[in-house]
Amino acid sequence: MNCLECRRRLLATPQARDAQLATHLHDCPACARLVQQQNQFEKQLGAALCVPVPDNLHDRVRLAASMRRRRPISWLAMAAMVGALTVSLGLGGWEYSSRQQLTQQFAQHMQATSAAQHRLTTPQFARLRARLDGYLQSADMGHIVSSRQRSVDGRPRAEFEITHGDERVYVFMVPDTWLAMSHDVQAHGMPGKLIPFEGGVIGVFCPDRDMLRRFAADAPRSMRLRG
Amino acid sequence: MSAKHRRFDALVGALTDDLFRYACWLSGDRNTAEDLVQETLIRAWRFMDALNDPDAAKAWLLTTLRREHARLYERKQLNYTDSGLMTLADPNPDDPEAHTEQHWLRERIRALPADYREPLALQVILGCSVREIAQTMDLSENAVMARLFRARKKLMQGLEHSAGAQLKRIR
Repeated sequence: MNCLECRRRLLATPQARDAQLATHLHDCPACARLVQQQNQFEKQLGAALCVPVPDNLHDRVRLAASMRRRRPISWLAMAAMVGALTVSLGLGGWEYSSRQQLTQQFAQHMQATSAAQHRLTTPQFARLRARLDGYLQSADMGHIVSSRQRSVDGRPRAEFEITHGDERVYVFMVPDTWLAMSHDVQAHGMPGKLIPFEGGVIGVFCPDRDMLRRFAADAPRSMRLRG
Repeated sequence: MSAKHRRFDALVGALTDDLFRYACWLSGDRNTAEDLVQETLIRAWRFMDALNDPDAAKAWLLTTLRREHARLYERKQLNYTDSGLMTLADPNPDDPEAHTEQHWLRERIRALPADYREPLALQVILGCSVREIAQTMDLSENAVMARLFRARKKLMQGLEHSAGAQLKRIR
């Protein structure tokens, strides 16, 4: 190895030492002096390149990574969300229309209370009447003055008219109808509630709001209608 | 904490500082360097399962950081500012001469062509071998050797001229 080659090696890879280089440095005082100078230079170079690091850089990186750990919403998830939104909007619309239709029908039935009486031929309704009667007595909420069975669109439904002092309460029982939740409604200016239960909807209308609230809270359970 | 989290934490602890220093010399701007390091390590998090070997992880991070820098450069021509870069901690604050020399040397490194500055930063800051630098920069080992040699030669010559000029001023 000659001096030129030695100096090239030293300047390119100062830390590398092999047997050839070591031999040359041992034999050549000028190159050995260069090594000493270069060691000093390497210290200066290292210090100059050692830019200070911001104190919070590690935390910033960890925080940024933790934020990105939440996976972006995939197209599949997006499609599922849009689907769910569409379904819920559809159900909401359907719920609204069912609610309106039922309230309208109940309002008509209230006006038609003087129509021909029909006996409760369906055993389910007969049982329901007995339970309702029991509840009214136990809760001191009046008594049933009339009960009817009606057929709407080929499906039976029961109606009960109750007196409590001067108040009139109307209870409608509609099987095979579905509502997602209870709704406050009005018919002929009378406040009412539509209460869903397993297998149907019960409609209650009463001018006294406190009584309506009590009835809505207790009657379905007393009539063994599961919500 | 999962094994993946632990490995990521270890990676951040071990390499963030050096990556930042390298990114500083690569981009010439501290804020850009911070962003580059952050983006690089976030990518590392996403590919953490494939980065089991620490040496491979280092090479992968360097390549990714360079790519991020190139992408940044494609998007906009950076206005290089050195004000942040020059605000450096003094390794020996009691020795004003050392501080002046360091400042001078830093200026000289910054004035080097990027082709020379980058392999030097990789070698000195990150301790990369010639082979690793060649792989990172997609060069031959001989080309890397030549660039390292020229970079040091320029800096040493500058240092000698500066010392000579100082002596003349004293005389």
